Amino acid sequence: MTSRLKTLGLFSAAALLLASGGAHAQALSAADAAVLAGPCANCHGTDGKSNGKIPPLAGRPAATLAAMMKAFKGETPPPGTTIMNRLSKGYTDEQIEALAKHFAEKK
Amino acid sequence: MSTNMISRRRTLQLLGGAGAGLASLSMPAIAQGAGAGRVVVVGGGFGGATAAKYIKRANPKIQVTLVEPLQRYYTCPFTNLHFGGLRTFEQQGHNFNELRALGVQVVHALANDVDNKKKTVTLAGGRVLQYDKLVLSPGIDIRWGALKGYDQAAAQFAPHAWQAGPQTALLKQQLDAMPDGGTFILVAPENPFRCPPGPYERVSMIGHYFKTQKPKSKILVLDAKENFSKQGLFLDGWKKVYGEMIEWVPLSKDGKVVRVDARAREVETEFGKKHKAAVLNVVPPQKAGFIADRAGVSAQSGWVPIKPETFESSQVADIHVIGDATAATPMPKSGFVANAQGKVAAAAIVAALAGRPAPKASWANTCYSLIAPDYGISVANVYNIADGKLNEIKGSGGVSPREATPEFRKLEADYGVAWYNAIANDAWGTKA
Repeated sequence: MTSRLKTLGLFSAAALLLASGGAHAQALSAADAAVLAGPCANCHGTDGKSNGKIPPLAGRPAATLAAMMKAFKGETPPPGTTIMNRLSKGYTDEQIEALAKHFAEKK
Repeated sequence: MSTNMISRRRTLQLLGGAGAGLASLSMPAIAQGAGAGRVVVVGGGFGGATAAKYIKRANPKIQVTLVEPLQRYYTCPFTNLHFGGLRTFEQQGHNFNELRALGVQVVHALANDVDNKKKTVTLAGGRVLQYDKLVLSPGIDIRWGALKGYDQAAAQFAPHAWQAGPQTALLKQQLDAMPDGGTFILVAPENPFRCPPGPYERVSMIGHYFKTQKPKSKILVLDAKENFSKQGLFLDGWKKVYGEMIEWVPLSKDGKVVRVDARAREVETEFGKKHKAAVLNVVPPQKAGFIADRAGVSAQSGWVPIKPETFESSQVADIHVIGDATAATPMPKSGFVANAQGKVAAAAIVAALAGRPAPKASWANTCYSLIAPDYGISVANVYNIADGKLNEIKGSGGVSPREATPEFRKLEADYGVAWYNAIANDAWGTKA
């Protein structure tokens, strides 16, 4: 019984790794994405609903948000931006996709 | 509020307290259904207000009590701009109306003691709150006497102004009364301390005040360190904006102050040099707020060690500690970080009460500093956990470029104000 459970456990762990494309890309749950998005609110507003000069994130298309985050990482970040070049480099493309989805769903 | 209401609340709390002893022996949260439970948050600053809000938002069934002595909380961040004449003191004040509207019980009292076995918090006045999970966000206490001559009485003559309130008013008043041509001395501490760029932003803002109001005055920073946050950017900025007005003396140039005579406004350095000030501002050695000692979560260092994944104390179960009180290197003791840690702790608590594992933790920090009204600089970082420890993600973060256009500096000055407005809204619901 124990060994059967163990086998199943190992099997599902392997399946998870395969599904997420290997050890470097661990799947992010909605709860993980919400925590990942936590610090964004400090400038972009709670749930990405900005109350000032810093652009809002809430309800914008996921593809737009993800493309912007990836552009920030580049050697020539978009004009008028300051810290996002430094912050965006702290996130993998997979995390960026999860963040983009998280904020796109906030209405 | 009517007395009726209060007594009804008391009865409910007493009932809750009576049942608690039994419930907490087994599975407190599940016993009350839907992942609920009782959370007490001590401290209504960036960390505590955020944690209370995010717990309540995630699961309104959780009973959240926030304990904070002040009806209106004043942040230390941005009081430097008040010294520069750019903001009123009131602009740093925040109330707890949004938290109340969300259903958080806000109790304006001092938390005096924690019994980590009975899981109770005792308030000044004797009221006892029972918790399933406790969040401590107590900020800093001053280590009175750790710097010779600098005790509570001395702070009435040479303010620290490192906790916003009467100390801020005292320093402002002394600066206003200072004649043109006087010397302002700031004594800067060793690491770690609240707000690493804070002392240097403070002298920048006082530099701005002097430049515009008292141009013959001088500023001297006596530092117990060899290096400081955003050093290159500050030194460049001071030279560019204030010329020779601001002088910084590092440890190796006899910058370490070992004795303070607050009444004479005189300090003595390691090698016996005496400096006399017209206004003396001592940023003294610090430790976690005293409630951390009472709860048994602080270490010999005076700070609180935590488990990175959840910010639960590594010494006592079911007590999460966030903000300046924690030993969370490489994260700085900043308002931004306290808020970020508050969200991680909140998510972990909500998950634990529902019997789920904590979500994957992640944090970031951004600290803006103002050198002049149109001259802002910043440092930013992203953090995760690597090898079981808090880790600054390699290749990310860093400070503003050393070479930047005036437009870039102006943008960072503007973004700094926008950040403050955004985080004040996120933590307290304050509308700018």
